[in-house]
Order: sequence, then structure tokens, then C-alpha cells
Amino acid sequence: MLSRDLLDDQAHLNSPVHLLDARVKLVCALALLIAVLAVPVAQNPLLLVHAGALLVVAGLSRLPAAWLLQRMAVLAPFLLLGTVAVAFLPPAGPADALNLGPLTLSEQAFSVWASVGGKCALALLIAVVLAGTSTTAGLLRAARSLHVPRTLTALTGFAITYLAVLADEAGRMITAMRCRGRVRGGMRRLRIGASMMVTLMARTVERADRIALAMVSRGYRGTMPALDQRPIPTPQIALGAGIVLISALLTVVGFAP
Amino acid sequence: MHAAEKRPTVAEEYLRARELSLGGLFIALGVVIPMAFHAVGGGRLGSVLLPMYLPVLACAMLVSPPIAAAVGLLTPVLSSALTGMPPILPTLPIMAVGLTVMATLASVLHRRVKLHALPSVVLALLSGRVILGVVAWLLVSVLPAQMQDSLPEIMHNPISYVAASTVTAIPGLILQVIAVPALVAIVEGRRSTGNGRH
Repeated sequence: MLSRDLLDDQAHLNSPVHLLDARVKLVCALALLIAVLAVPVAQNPLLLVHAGALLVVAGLSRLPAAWLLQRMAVLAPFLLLGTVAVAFLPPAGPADALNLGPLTLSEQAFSVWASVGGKCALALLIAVVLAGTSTTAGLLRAARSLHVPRTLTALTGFAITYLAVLADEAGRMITAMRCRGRVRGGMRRLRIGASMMVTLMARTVERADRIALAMVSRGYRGTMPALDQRPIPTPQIALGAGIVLISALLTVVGFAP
Repeated sequence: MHAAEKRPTVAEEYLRARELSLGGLFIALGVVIPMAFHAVGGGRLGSVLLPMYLPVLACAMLVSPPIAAAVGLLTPVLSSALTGMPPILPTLPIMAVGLTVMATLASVLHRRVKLHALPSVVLALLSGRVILGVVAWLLVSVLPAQMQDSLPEIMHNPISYVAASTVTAIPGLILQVIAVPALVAIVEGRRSTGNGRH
């Protein structure tokens, strides 16, 4: 389950990446994400270039390796499932056979899987490094100043603030369910799961009512307040523009015949 | 004087605050519930029971269409950024578009057209299946040829793709049809009997 220090727990570190303006980091992360997703299957080695660059950024950020691995581990079951599936997929013919030691894999399936798995892992790494080197409030403020609608940033802020609270509540309900004993039968388990979720959602509605009352009593007037932003220093603008340019170049290289 | 007339009343401010807090909390639930499903039943339960649909559709029944659309869009995006699920390609764009359209339609049908929760959910789920096919077709048509290799083979035939994912998700679709109207009945019942806050 999610812990209360899901985000912001590494935002206090002092590294060159932490010191960058959140707007620069957000734009660079988006550019890198697009560049990673745009890598065609035939150009899979380009993913290694992106991975190398991202690992350098992760190193510069001084985020603890264990913390990074823990955040990346959420993807492990998905990657493992796909790897097992590819390992058992027979090649379509001799031309499609790829010999890896004792294993004979389908080359096409392996390439597609390497592309999908690699892109998912790199996209998550971008998100984790971005989240680890910025405060949530800073990122939301940056999104707001990049003209993301205020409703979207307000909703995201609420969601992140209450994620850990709701995760704790769901965890307690699962523990209580397990304490009541093992439930046999798929339909019975489904019914119990459904009633658990309805209860969780009903409690969430009550919590939302209380939050709304608190907001109004503290002066909420229909819109979330806008916070002032300092101007971005010129060297940081140049650095951000450079990263966006390199990402665009890598994307063009990927599509070159 | 004119400006004073335009100023929202306390009740309007409360309703707006309630919509925002409901939306935000249900987005958080949209991240938490799939994780709880994975913790209890393993990774494969996601595509079978559609746990992310549940909080999004439930929220759509309780808030206005613009907030419902925002919840439908943000829930899969935030979940993907925080937990890596759904995978960013090809599932995330399909889910983001599908949930946005479903949530908007469910909210319009229930809150504006005043349709009962059950037909609203059923129509929203049906529209979701149609959107699934349309987005799959769009991905296959719009993505450059070099990128299409990373899409599943079945996606190249949108009808087969929709049929296969619908058959897989039958238990989840039944779950939505039962659980979402039940929640709406609980919440609206509390409000009408005065147990709610307003």
C-alpha cells in the first residue's frame, strides 16, 4: 500500500536536479516522455540511449538507489508476466527464431516486448525522478503556470493529498476482511469485495462533505487561489531548451529510414 | 451592485467545493482500489474486474459533467504516473479517453437528463465499449507505421479487440452495474432522509 511519505520525502535533498525550477523539470520530463514513446520497435537500441541519459539524471539527483528501485518495483509483476509470456511463445518460423542460450524465442515478440517493457520502465523512471526531485505543491504550481486548467491542478492536488489517507483506510478494510477468515467461492469473494468498495466509497463521500465544509469555512470562494511564481533563471531556460531540442532530435533519428 | 449580484452564494460555494473534494478523493480512490485488487487477487484481476471504472463512474453520478470528465481523464494518468499501471502504451490513452467519455456521459444522463442510475451506468458502459473500438482504430490509423509494431496484434482489428476485451471484462461490467447504482442509492438516500450534510 501507499505510505504517507509517498511524495515529497526526497524533495529536501540538495542536488543540481532538485535546484532546477519545477516548470523546467516538467517541460523536460514531457519532452523526454514523448521522445521515449516515439521510439519505433525497429530502433530499440535508442531506448538504451534514453535509459543511459535518464540514469545520469537520476545519479545527479542523488536520489537513493534503494528508493528508486522501490518505486520502480511496482512495474515488476507486469514485466515478469510479459517476459514469461514471450519465453513460451514459439517462433513463427526459422527466420523469426532468436536463440538466447538454451531458449529459442520469437524475435518479433521479443522485440515488441522489449519495446513495450522498456518504454513503460523509462516512463515510470521519468515520473519517479520528477516526483522525487520536486515538491507536489511545486509541480502543481508549475502546471498551473504552464496554463493547465485550474480545475485539473486542484483535483490532482486533492487526490495526492488524500491518497495516503484512503490507502490506509482500504488497507484497514482488507486486514479486517482477512481477520474474519478465508472466504471460499469466487462469487462470494466478489460480493464481499463489492460491498467493501461500496462502503469505502460511501465513507469517501462523507469525507468529501467534511472537506467541502472546511474549505468554505476557511474562505473558499469558488476558485482555488493562484500562487505567484518567480521568473525562471536564464541558464535554466537554456538548459531546458537544450534537453527539449535533444529529445526532438532523438525522435527524428528514430524515424529516419 | 452588478458585481454583488454575480457573487456566488455560500450554498453555491459549498457545492463547488464539494464537487472538487469529491472529484479529488475519487481520483485517489481510482489509484487505491486497483492496488487493493492487485494486493488481494493478483495482477490479472485488473482487466477482468475493471476496478478503476468503479470510482470514476460512481463519482460521475455525484458531480457535474465537467468535473466528471476531469476525473475520468486524471484517474488513469495519475495512477500510471504513481504506480506504473495502466501501462503508458497502449492502455493509458485508451483508458484515459474511454473513462473521460464514460464519466461525462454518465454524469449528463444522471444529473442533467435525470435518468436513473442503473440505465445511466449501462449506457455509459456501452459507450465505453464503442470508444474502446474507436480509440483502438485511431491508434492503428494515426500512429506512424514504425510505432504500430508495439501495439497488440488484435488491436489491428478493432471489432475483435472490443469483443475480446468485453468477454474478458464481463465480471467487471456486472460489478459496475451492481455496485455503482448501489452507492448512488446509499448517498442519495442519506441526503433525502437528512442524514447527509445538506
